[in-house]
Amino acid sequence: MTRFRLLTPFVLSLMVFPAPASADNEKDAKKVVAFGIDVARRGLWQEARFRFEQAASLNPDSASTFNNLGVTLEQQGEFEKARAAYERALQLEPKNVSIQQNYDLFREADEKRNRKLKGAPAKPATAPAPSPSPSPTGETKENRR
Amino acid sequence: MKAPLCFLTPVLAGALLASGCASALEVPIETPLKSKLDVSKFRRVLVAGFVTDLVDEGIDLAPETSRLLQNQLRSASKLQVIEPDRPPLNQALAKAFKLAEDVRVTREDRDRYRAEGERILQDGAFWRKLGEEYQNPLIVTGKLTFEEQNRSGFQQEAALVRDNRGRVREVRGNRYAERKAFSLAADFSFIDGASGRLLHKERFSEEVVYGEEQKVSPLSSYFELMDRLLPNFLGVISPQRIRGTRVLLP
Repeated sequence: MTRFRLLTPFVLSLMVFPAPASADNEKDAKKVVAFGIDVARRGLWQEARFRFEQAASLNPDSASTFNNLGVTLEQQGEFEKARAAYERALQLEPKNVSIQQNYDLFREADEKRNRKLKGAPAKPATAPAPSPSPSPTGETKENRR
Repeated sequence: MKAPLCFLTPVLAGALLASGCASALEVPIETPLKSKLDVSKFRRVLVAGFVTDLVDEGIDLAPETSRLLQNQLRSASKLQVIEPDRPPLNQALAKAFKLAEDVRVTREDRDRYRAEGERILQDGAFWRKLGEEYQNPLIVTGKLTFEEQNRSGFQQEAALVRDNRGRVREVRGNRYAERKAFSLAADFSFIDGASGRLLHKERFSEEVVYGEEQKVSPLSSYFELMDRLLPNFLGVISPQRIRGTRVLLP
């Protein structure tokens, strides 16, 4: 988990300030993505997330990498980060049907989650605050909804 | 001819493999859904019984529901489920509202019984005392209504008939159909046994309509309705998962 903590803010910063990727980096990123897909298929989502984050740092212009990162973040319940990753992927490739489909399904599921949580009671004032998690916009799920 | 083919096969296989690798992959995902209520401070849960109608609609609603919820909580939550001999709320109601035997229950009796139930549900001191008795559990209680309704009436029907020229045409008409419905409404309250304070309250309702050919007992219908309602109930205190598929791109 430590490596995620170290890598996540870096990858998220790439969504905002992407650095141009060299040809070598692009090639390496593709290999990393292929490995990430392989482990995701086997249900090893944490490893997949690490690989997609690594690929995003190697090639911050790859829409498919950010799409895959969005899927893994969604699977892990990090919905705000997943949204940011999908939106970055769509920003890079606005006409990609697969990414758009993933994003639409994500939004549909997110609405469903919010509807289910609507009836939830407000947290008592004495309850400990949730641990802040880094997000592209600096917001946490709790304070945004 | 053989040599070029031998040379070509690995190239073709490589190309096919590359195209296979380059295609999108659909993967199943399960996204976690947090429970509505944070129950981490509780170790035990007590299903304390339910306020129901004084006259039951074919089933013993409060004990049946208490037993069913206990079973579900045992498998779906990490909390230790307390099993009292009789639901404490119903015990308290029976004590507070004694009916003489063989006496016809009037509308007023039913209203008074319901009102007494409502009063106990809002009585923080009662729940605090009960909490003390059972070592400060999460208390699940509430109100239940289970009703049978007659939904018989005329229904529009369409039938295909063949006229004397052999043509098939649709004929619409009305037919009287006997139907009955069962409805279940549950107002669940989740109470902190340590303070007697209400933590969360939520209403769930379900209805099922049966045709004349379906002879379904109230008890079967009740279980069918509870089966639909249970995931929402469990979602209040235990995390759930939403299933779906997404596409990974190379």
